[in-house]
Amino acid sequence: PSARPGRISIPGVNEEQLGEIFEIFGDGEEYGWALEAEELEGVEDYE
Amino acid sequence: DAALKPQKKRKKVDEDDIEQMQDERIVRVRDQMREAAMRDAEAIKDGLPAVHKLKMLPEVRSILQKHSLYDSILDNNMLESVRLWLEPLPDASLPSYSIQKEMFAALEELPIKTTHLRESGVGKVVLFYQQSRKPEVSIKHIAEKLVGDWSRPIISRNKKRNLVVR
Repeated sequence: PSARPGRISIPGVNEEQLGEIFEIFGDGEEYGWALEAEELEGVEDYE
Repeated sequence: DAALKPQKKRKKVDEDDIEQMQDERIVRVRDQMREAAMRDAEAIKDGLPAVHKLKMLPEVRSILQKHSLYDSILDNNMLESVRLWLEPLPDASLPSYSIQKEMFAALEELPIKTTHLRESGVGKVVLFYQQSRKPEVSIKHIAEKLVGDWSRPIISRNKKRNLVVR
């Protein structure tokens, strides 16, 4: 995935770096389905 | 002097042989890990217990704990199988705590570089553990630390450049 200017910006982080961060960590969509399931299950934090 | 030459050559060949054998072992275990992850996912879909990864865990643990295998583990993208082992199962449950513990312990120890992260996609599942509410606190803390450690070299590159320009 490439950087998405206009959607996310982090101070001090340029577009190229943002692209690298997306490439490594994804855009949060990969396991979004599991996080949504947690919401439906009402899972609470351990802390 | 001449007598030493063949010995040196033999030693080099031995080292190459050992390296090749290590690589072959890592590739075999990497592929078996992938297979175990797929079989566990299928088992959950069929309403059966997911035991394939757990059965393999002692062998995987023994490999991941050997410092001498670190290069081979990273060069042969065993991290991709680590990612598959950490992924949530089709019912959105997480793999057992013992699997999480061993995989995260390895991620903390291995000298992982940005290129390994790009190749394996393991950063994506680690970010998921940071975001998810299900993992135990100790695992979430490791996930959070890894995300910081892995993003720092990318972010600090810009700061270093700015310092040079100024």
